[in-house]
Amino acid sequence: LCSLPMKSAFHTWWLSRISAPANVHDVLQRQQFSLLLQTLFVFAPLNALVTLGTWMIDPAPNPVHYMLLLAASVIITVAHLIARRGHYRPAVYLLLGTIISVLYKIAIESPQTGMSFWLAMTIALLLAMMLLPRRDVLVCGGLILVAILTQPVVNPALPFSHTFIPAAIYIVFFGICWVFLNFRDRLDGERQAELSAALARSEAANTALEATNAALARSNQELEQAHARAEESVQVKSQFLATVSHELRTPMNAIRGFTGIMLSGMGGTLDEDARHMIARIDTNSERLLRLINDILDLSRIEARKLEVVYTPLMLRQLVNRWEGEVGVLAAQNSLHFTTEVDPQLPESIYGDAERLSQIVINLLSNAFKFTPEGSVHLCISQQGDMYQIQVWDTGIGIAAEAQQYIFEEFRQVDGSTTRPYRGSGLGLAIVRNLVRMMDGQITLESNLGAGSTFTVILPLLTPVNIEQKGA
Amino acid sequence: MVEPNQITRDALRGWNVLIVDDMPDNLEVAYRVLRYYGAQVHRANNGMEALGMARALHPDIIIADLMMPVMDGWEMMRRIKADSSLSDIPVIALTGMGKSADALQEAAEVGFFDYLTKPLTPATFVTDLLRLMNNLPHPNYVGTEHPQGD
Repeated sequence: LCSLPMKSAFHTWWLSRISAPANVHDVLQRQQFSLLLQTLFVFAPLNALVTLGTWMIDPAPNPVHYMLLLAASVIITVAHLIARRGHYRPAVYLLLGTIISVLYKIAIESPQTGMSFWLAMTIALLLAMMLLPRRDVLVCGGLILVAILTQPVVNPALPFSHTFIPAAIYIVFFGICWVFLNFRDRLDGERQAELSAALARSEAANTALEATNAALARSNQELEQAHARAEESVQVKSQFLATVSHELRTPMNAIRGFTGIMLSGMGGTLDEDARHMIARIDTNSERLLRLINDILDLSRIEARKLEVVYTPLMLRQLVNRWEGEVGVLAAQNSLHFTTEVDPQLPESIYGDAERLSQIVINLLSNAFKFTPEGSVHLCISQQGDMYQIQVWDTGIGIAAEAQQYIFEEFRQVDGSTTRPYRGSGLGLAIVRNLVRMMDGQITLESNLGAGSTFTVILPLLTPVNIEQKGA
Repeated sequence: MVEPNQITRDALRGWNVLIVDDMPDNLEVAYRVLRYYGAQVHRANNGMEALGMARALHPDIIIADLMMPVMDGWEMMRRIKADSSLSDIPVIALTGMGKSADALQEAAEVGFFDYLTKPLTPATFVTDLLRLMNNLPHPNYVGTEHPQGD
């Protein structure tokens, strides 16, 4: 019976009973118990009907039976109420007491009529007892059996059949119940084992999780330290670059100074050949100086030491200045260079003239450098609350795959192009960083052989909207 | 823009200038340029020397490097401002570290009159100096607030 195939269905039901949380479990148990008691309620009137029927046939009615039935019903109700409050054990023992007293009463007065009644009650009680621990079931079952078997003591006239037949039925039924009880306890045990195994597993998992957590925290800390170290090394690197650049600029100062003095004739007259050579020293030192300046700027940007200083500036004047500065380059390369300023743009805007110039001059030099013939165009226009600086050229263009790294430091399109096109490869990196610092964006549109367009979009800060922001 | 060849040889005539730099070559460049335009030039190798010379000579203008051994430009400037006999001399800072907002602010706070960045090429040096001098009282025109440069 213990390994019966009904196990699966019953198993599910029973396990669902156990796996319910404690308070829910209580409620379920109480509901089952009250169901059994309700069955008793059904048995009680049924029993009354049987009794009544027997009494109709029996010409000698005994009114005590009515009283007994009434008392039993009242006691069952009380037991029911007690059980509903969660006190199963007292309820069961109350019922047990009732059954035993009824048993004795019947034994003394009318053994035939009460039989079905107490049998039904006993069976119901047995079912009710199933909800109690095994010890209580044994005690209750034993007491009932003793009560049945000791009936002849109360009424020696009672025939043997009235004692042993119910006892035999009772024992068989009790046996079935006992098997069921064992089954229950075994299932409970299994479930318990399963639960404790699950608990152990979850505890193990918990421990593992905690260990993982701790490891994670440790690695996090290590990561933070590594990050701090990386930060520090960036700072150290930038500091190093700045120092080196400064040290490089000091001798450059003397070189540029003396060549300047000689070229401007302050140091006396030079013959044409010497002048030519000094002019070459001058151009080369200037290029070297530009490279050093680029490195210095980039290191300052990386070390976050470079600031953008917003002051009112006249955009058109600035454009004129840029034209003056790069016009020479355009003339040297016989390129057509034009500028255009959106007339809708305010006369005066807020910006960092020096950094803005650095951006535009870098983009323009770049355009001139990579445009062997044709034209370069600078266009500044308003785009809502932003303004746009666009530099386009008819130059060699930039291949799609190169466009993604063109803004990185020390990158020119490829090794072969670095030779004809001089430059540090820092210009666009500086431009990108400066644009970012100004909360702007830089984009590039280009096709190989069809020129390039660099577009810088920056927030438009005018004296008016600065005031509005302040207000 | 003022080109060096547009500047007359006597643009700085009558100016008594003290230049301070720890690098002899840099000192030499500035000396030659200033001399070329007619200024009377004195040279000091550090802030300490410059202070002594300034007290003795009372120059019209001091052009000083910032990073120097013995006494740097910042300290020299503080001492000049603290000395009532020297505090009226305009001092122009020379630095190799580019222009940054912080440095400009700090230079102004310490009391530098203005700021020139290295490297000095004769052309930019003299034009920048003349530009600054337009804001300075010229020794030959005492009492005139904004005399014309040259």
